[in-house]
Amino acid sequence: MLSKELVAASTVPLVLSVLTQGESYGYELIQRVRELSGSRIEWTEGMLYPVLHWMEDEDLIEAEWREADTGRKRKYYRLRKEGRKALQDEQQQWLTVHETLTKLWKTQPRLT
Amino acid sequence: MENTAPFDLNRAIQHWRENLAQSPTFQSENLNELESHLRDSVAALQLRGLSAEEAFLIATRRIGKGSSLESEFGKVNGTAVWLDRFFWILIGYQVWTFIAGAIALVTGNALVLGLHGVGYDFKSHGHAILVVVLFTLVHLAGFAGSLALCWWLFQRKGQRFGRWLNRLLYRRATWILAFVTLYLLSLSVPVMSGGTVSLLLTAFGRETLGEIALPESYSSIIMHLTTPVVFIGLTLFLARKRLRLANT
Repeated sequence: MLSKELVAASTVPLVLSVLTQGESYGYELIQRVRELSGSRIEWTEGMLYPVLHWMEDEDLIEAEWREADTGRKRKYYRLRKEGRKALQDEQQQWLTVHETLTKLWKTQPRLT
Repeated sequence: MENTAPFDLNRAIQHWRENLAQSPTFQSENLNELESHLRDSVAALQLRGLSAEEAFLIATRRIGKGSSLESEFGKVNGTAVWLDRFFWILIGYQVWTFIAGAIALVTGNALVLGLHGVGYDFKSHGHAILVVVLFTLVHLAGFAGSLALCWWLFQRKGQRFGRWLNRLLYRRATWILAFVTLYLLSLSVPVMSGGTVSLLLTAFGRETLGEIALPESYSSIIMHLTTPVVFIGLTLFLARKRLRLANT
């Protein structure tokens, strides 16, 4: 399981990345991330919505209430142009961290 | 007796939603979205063979505790939270001014009339310290009663009053009615106070009224020294309690 801090830091890039594959709603986003991470990233479900609303305020994503196949209304989120740009920045930052750690762990002797 | 009533999922969800709705942190749209999420989660769990009740219990646990949700939603709905806080501060100030003023007026005058009734002569200055102590005790009792009444009103009737006011202010026409009512209430204590002074002036005369004012003013000084102690103590007590609740 990932630490709370890492889960929080990765929420925005994860949401942006899932939304590049098409529009989605809160419950589906959570299921998708759980599935992709092999249940290692577990969000406290209700906590995702304030993040989504913050992303909406920042114009990274946009939302629309629509009727689903079940007949119930759902709020669907989709990526905006600003969101795609933010995702590129996020990708750069996460890849930098990833590459640095990979280099360090490959070159330094293991402690165990 | 064992409760054998069948579990009503819609009712349980409604009850869960109403609990969250008591907090100003959640806007109507937030509640709609959380409810939609809860229903999706319950449906998925039921597909896995869980009963409606089991699915509801697990889904509500997964969505998070009310206090944690409140804290997270508070970060994005800050303006609504502060508006609500400021609204209650203003309501609290007006309710306190009215209740404390009315109780102080009634108790103070009751004591004057009571002492007069038992034949006490204010002009004689006899038992002056006792009279000051009596005035102070009566004012302290009035103050404690006002605090208790305000506490009871806000704890027991606050939510209902908030909902009633929301319904009332939904219609433009009732704004004027609410304004006039609140204005008349705020005026009622000073008007009654002025009226009582006129009545006492007629009953006792200017000189006796001046003598009554002396122990009352001493008692008022003691009250001015005491009330901040109570308010500061109460504020710190509530701050500690709030901190302890946030950490549990």
